[in-house]
Parts: sequence; C-alpha cells; structure tokens
Amino acid sequence: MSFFEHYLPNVVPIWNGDGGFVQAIWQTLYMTVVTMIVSAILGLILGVLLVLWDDHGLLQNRVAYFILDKIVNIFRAIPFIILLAVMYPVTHAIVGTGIGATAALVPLIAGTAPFFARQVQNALVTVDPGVIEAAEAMGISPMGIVFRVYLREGLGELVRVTVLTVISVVGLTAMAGAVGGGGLGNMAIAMGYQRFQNDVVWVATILILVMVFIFQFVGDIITRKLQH
Amino acid sequence: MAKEAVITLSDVDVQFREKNRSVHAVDHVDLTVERGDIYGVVGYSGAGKSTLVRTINLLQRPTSGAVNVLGEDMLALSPKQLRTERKRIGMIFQHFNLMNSLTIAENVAFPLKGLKSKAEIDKKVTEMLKLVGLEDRATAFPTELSGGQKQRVGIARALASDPEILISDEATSALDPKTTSSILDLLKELNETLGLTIVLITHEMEAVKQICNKVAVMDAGRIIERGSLLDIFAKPQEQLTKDFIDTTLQLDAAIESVRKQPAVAHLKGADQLVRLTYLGASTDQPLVATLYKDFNVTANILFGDIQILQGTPFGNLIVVLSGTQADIDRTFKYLADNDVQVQHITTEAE
Repeated sequence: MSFFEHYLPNVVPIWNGDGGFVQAIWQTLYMTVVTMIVSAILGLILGVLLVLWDDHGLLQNRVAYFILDKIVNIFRAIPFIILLAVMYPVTHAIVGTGIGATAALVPLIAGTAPFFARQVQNALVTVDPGVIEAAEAMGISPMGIVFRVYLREGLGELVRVTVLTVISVVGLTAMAGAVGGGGLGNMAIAMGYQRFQNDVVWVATILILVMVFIFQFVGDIITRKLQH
Repeated sequence: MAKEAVITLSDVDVQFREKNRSVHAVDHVDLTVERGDIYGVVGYSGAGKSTLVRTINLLQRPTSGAVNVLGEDMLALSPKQLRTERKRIGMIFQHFNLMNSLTIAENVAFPLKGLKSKAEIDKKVTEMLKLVGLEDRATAFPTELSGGQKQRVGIARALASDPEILISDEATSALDPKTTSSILDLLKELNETLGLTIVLITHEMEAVKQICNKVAVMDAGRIIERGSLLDIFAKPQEQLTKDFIDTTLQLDAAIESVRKQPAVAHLKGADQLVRLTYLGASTDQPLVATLYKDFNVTANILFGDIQILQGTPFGNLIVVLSGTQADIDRTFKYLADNDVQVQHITTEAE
C-alpha cells in the first residue's frame, strides 16, 4: 500500500467506509442505472408519441404534439442544478425526503426523460419514410409499424442516442451532491476541490472517465452487432 | 366479354393546403381499371400521378370524390377494414423501400407475420422468392443486392399476401435499361400467370410500350388523354402524348440528320418530306410498293422504325414522296383511308 499512500495520500484513508470512494462509485452507478432505466421507458414512449403525432406522423395530432413538444423543451431548458431545487417539493412528495441518492433520482429522471425523448424522436425520424409507407400499404397497424419498423429499423440509432444519454446522466449525477446524493462528482468537489486535495479530484475524475468509456465500449459492440 | 372493373376512381380530387397556397395535385380525375389490365399512367414528375395512384389504397385520402376498389367503397371503411383491404392491393416503389435490418426472406415474410403459421409463411416465402428468381439469396441482406434484385424482393413482398392488384410507383425508374426491361417482363409474366391487375406509373413511355395494354397521360393533375395502348400510339391527340411517344423513337435526332441529306435539301417540284405513322392492319399491305404501283409515287425511305406493340407492328417512316401533284394528292387520300397518319416535315431546321 505504500505506493498508493505515497502518491494518493488523501485518497487511501477515504477509500472504504461511509462517504468513501467505493460508496461513491456505487452511488453514481445506482443513480445512473435507475435514472437510465426509468428515463429509457418514459423517453421511448414520449419519443415515439412525438414521431407519431408529428405533422408527417402516422397519428398526426397537432394539439397533442404542440403540448408534448413544449413540455419536453421546457424541461430541457432548465439548467439541472436549478431543476434540483425546482423539483424539491415533487421529490419530497414522491420519495418522502429531499435528500440522498434516491431523492436525487426524481430530478435526474425529470431532466433525462425529456432529453432522451428528443433523442429518440431524432433517431426515429432517420427511418426511411418510404419503408413506413410500404408498411402502411401492406396494411400494418400503427402499433405494428412502431414495433416492427420504427424500433427495428431505428435500433442502431437508438443504441447510439442511449449511450449519449447515459454519458449525459453520469454528468448530471455529479451535480446530485447538491442534494446529498453523493457519488463521484460530489466526491471530487466536496472532498477534493473544497479541501485542496488534488489527488481526490484526479481519482474521482479518472473513475468517472472509466465508467463513461465502459458504457461507450458496450454501446459500440452492440452497434457493430447490429450492422450488416 | 364485359370485363370487371376492379378500380374505379370517380371525380377524385386532391388538394394540398400549405401556409399561403394550395396545390391542386389531382384535379377531378375519373379512372377505371379492369381486371387483368396493365394500366400505364404516364406523365412528367409533378404531374400528380403518384398522388393519384395513392388514392387507390388511400395512402393519400382524396379531398373529394369516390374510390371503389374490388367492390369496396374505400372511403367508407374503418381503419381496421382498410388495413384488411390494403392486403389485397400490393405496392412496389421506386426506391424499393425494403427493411435493411431484415434478411431477404424476412422482408418477404414481413406482411404475413402474425397472420399465418410459421410453416405456412416459410412455404410462401420460398414460393415467392422462387417466383422472382431469388431463392438462393434468402439469407442475404438488402444492402448486398443490386437494384434489380432489390426490386424483385419488393415484388415478392408485395405479392406475398396474394393481392389482386399491384400498384407500381415508378418501380423501374431507378434501374438501368436492361434491368428495367427484365423487371417489366416479370410484371408482364405475373399479369399473365396470376391474373394480376397492374397499375404502373412511370415517366418512361418505353416502359408503358413494353407491357401496358392501356395508358393514361397525366399533366397538371388531370388525365389529358387515355385509351388502349394501340389507339394512343396510332392516333395521339394531345401534343404531350405525341412527345411521350416520340421519346420511344429517337425521332428528333433522326429528323435532324434527315434534313441534312441531299435528297431532302434539293426537293423537286411536288416532292414532299413526310412522316408516315401506321399501326397493325395497315402494315399488312406493302405500303411502299402500293404507292409506286397504283399511284406512280416513289417513296424514298430516309428513316424507319418499326416496333411491335402487343404483337402489332407500329411503324414510323420518314420518306420523300416524289410524283406529280395530282398523284401525290391521290396518295394522301389513299393513306388517310388506310389509317396511315401523315405528318409534313419542314425541310429547314426549326
């Protein structure tokens, strides 16, 4: 341990235990994964609805599109650090507390689901409209077209925007420290930056980068599997 | 024998409203297609032919008018009934519109999924791929195929649900001439073997000439001329129709070079440079020989093009008629009586 103790004097004592690095890694993973699962489901539904309700969509609906489009824009426009505060009453109502990693999930999802919905919309509009038309001509129902054409033909793009969103969520979790969510971002700021412990900042940064690289790597493998 | 009308468009009108203008894509069109027809709809891009045929399966809902397909009033159907009806109307497209994430076999199986058992689907897919000559490419992906092969997959997919009608939307326009010809031959074969009714829209008169038995010419949202292929080729009324027919003859280039020939540059007396167009029966008589023998008029053939339309010869000759004025006048009367169209050609370049 002398090597680590020598070069990372402030990291080693807070590696394990309450408020330590290991816990921070788990907090970041927990917030990222849960946020991503919930946002993926919500974002996929909202993104598909945006595509269907669009002027060129299968279930064109101007009013519904207008409303959903504006909601998505508003949530994406609010800076996340402010969203944390704005969402506080909602968080409190849902989770029972406004503090901690679980409480941070509410604003994380509120910030991520609309972002992912827009990404899904952008991914699905890349599906060739001619293929959609062909499916319509074959008498496939709108639901069938969503599942068998949009989600199938758009899968490669969906994987790409999912990785993009995961990376953005990792970024957002760094701000969750503001509501006591913990995580590596909080570690870097509260334990590293504010206490002038540069080794803590560096290790936290590297761990976040490793996480991002792993997500990116997995995404690339899936994308390659999907290509012919 | 009175044939059964399978598609009847009555007074169909389509207008697209944009912010500050409205586009009249289809202007009060009537169209009747009978069972077994290969009905060509020809026109330049923007003429409204794609929009018109999309009203058949209601991919485009008309602003007004009635659409009757296979005995169903299409506009009265519920969405679910419409989807069932659409399975009886196959469609193929200029850009094939195949799913790139699926294999060829999966693409062909696509319209059948959930409607038939897996064994039935497999059997049908094999049968369809064999029909279009692609049974050995079942596991390939569309990106591995040539344009002509992709269109064959498109045809197999369109026919998988045993439709009675096939709509072809510029299906050969993205293909080279040789591939175009082979796809058209396939369509003709399907028309004959399966009794498939085909509506073929195209901007290439050559395609119409090769397989259609009826043709409608569209311009600015209206059908300006229609009839059997032979009638349209023999006696086109509208200038646009004539232009389309001439695209199959390379006549413009021929006339240019004919004008440069000495025989044309120095026409004598009553000599006339004319284009003779004739079809079918009129060609059974040895035209040129008759003119000389019975009318003392020599016909110097400078350009000739004879094609076979649905088994009937269709001839275009550019000739110099030489003789006395009286003989030539008698000749023109004879030609008119025998359904040979005469068109005078100026000797000077226009």
